[in-house]
Amino acid sequence: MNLLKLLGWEVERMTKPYLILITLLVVTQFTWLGVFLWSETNMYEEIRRTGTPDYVLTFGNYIGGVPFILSIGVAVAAMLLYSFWIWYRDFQGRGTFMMRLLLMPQQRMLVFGAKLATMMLMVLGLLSVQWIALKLQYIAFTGWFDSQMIPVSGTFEQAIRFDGALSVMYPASFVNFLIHQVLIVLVILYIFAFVLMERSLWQRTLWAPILAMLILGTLILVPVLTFYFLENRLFMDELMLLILLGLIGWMTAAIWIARRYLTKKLSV
Amino acid sequence: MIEVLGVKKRYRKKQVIEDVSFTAQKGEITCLIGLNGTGKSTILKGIMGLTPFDKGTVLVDGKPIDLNRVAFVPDHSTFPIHFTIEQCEAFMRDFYPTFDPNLFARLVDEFKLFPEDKLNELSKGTLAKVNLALGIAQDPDYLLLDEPFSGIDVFSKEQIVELFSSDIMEDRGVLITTHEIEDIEYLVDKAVMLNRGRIVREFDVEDVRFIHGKSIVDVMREEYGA
Amino acid sequence: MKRMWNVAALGAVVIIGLGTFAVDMRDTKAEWELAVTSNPEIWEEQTINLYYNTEEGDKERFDLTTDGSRVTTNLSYIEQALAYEDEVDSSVRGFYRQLSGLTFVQSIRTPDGYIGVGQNGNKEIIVFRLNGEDVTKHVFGKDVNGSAEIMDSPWAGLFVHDGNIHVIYRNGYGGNAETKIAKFDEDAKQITMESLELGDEAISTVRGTSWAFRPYMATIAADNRFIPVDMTEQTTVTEGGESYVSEQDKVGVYAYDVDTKQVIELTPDADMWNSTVYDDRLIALQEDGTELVVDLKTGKKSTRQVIDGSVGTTSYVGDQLYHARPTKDGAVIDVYQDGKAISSAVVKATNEEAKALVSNTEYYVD
Repeated sequence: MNLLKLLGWEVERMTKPYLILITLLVVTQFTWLGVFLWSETNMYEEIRRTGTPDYVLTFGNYIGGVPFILSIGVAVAAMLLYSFWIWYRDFQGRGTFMMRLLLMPQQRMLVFGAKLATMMLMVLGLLSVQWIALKLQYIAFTGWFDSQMIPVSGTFEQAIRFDGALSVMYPASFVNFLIHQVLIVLVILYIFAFVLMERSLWQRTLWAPILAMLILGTLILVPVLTFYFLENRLFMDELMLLILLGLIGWMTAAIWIARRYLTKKLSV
Repeated sequence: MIEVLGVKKRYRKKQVIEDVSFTAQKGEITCLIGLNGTGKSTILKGIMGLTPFDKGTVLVDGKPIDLNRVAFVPDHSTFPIHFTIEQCEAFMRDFYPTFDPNLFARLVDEFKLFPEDKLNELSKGTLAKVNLALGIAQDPDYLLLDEPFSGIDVFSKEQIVELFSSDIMEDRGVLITTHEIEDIEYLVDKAVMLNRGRIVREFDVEDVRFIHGKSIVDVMREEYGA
Repeated sequence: MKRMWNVAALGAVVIIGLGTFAVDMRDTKAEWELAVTSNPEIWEEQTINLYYNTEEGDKERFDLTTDGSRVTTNLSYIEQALAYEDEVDSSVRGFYRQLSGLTFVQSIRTPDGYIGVGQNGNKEIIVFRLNGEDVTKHVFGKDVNGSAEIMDSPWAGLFVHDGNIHVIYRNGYGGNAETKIAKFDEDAKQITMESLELGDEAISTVRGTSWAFRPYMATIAADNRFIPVDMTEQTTVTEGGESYVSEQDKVGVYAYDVDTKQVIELTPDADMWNSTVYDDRLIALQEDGTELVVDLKTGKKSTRQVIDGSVGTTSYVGDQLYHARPTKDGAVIDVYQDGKAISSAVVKATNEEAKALVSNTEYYVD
């Protein structure tokens, strides 16, 4: 219940920038869709006038466009930055809200949980909005070209499948989608661990950020190097098991570090 | 009783607190006195676990600190500055189980605060009163106040001083830091004087006053040679 | 409470969006059934692959065994790993583990076990033999005469003759490429190379050679005289004043004759559906449903009638021919060995979802 209440506060605080981000994302994409439909139609008319068009249009052409990729990139960057900001924000200025959070009689990990849950809600929210937007864009895409008698090939699924970013965001198997979410959680956990470590060490040394980065960097790098070493020596199923163990290890380590620094070392 | 036992704190290369021990009794006002930069705030934050000590222990009534029973009022707001007083109260009600809305309402009334005011619109004195009200409304056994009078106007000071002698503060232990002792001199039961991260003197204010005929300021003058 | 509405609203967006996504991505619910009408032992270890394809690009894949059907389209990482674990027999893992550290590897299966040849970067060539659980390994370093040339060249495949492993490879590039055979003498640590006089033609693959982990390879006898291969042919094309060499596959199956060191044509071009190399025979199914059998020891050819009527989709597993004929609600699969029908089974769509796929589904056994 306390977690939910704290989540409510966190969500309230991110609502405004989050809505701006979503608006930006959706407006960019639909504007780009408009431009794309208009220019492709013109080009097609041009070709039609000069001869038989053997020009193949797919939905993939649209989602492979720079503005679309850029809009996804901005959203990803915003999520990464907010993972830092969601903590640093509370250390800002004289009104250090972090003090208020740390003085709460509840367990400090509650704050951690609420911030993590907020981040995941934002990520999942973006993925949801983007999926609905994509479906609408596909309807507009096929609807327009049908009305202009311009042939379109390929399906919605194929376009997603062959797109670098979207195939990762929306894998064909829902279980894989969940696994990808776990990976996103892992990234956020490491950012959190970094901030908490840096905020705990800053009173001790000016090198706090670099120190934190080095410690976490080693923690991330060692399993990766082990993986590359073993990659050619193990079978696919064995590698999967190894990756699973690695992920569990990583996640435990990140949470353990974050917990230790948040409860024992953090300085306001 | 709050017991601070052999605490130490280093900040980068500087030893800010070197082996400090003292106690603060329930029902008494204990004052940590020292010039600016002598580590008074650091000690309060350390007690609350906001900047953990490097060494030493803090016990409250013989046990590790329970944040339900000890409240901390820093010399600045702990809420985002765009929060209204109402929002602050709402947050406190959500997460501080001992927070007493009736007590808060009474303090708001006495301090003549307007709940819909935003923190960034308040004067320093009013902000100090808001902080104090939020702290006291947690209904704690012990209240830690960091420089409650620094840079605030005369009337706000008066209101706060008045509060200390009222029934609201009865039975609570207060640990207060200040470098402007004059305003509360006659309220203080015990003084702990710090210099360069060490305790230089710890005394019962009444004893000093009656036996030696000295005020706290007199003792300060002796110690700090000011 | 007002704050909870924010969370609830965002939660609702997530549920709607991801709910839509989950529904869109939902696996097919189609189910199939395999009913064996005769000789059930054949099917105990056998899997039928069902491929559903439409012109719009819809795809569904199923594995069907006597235990029932399993969707294999859009598998999750976990399902993939489990399927893989199922597939790769633990008895050959040790052998393949030896091979997997290498940058390039090929393997074949003989009655004596699996044999692999691989190269470790451009440092060394390694020859492995798996006999039961024992793996023996011989290393041919850069200093061994010929190894550098072989490591630099693309390989067509392996065969065994007189107990020695041979690698057929292409040396050189473009019009000057030359097909060569390297014989590995493991005891003497020697490689002897020989060029084949093939003119504009070249050997592109040796039948039965595996490039990847294929635990269920067909066994090929170690002392065949004829080694079945696929051929390519180079032609010089001149276009707009510029000429370049173009290489095409040659239709039909050829064989390298170990005795005469010539390549001969085993089956004439076209009219061939499917073929397999098993033990000491090449079996090729012709368009009319007859099988051409070539004895790889003697080169003697014979034909036999196998499938009556029109030929559906066929595949060979070892020396067994699987023949699938579509029916109204699935398919009938007949199994032939040595020209005789030995088993028959029926694939049936058991629910509406599967029945909707029947008309665009093909059935393979491998």
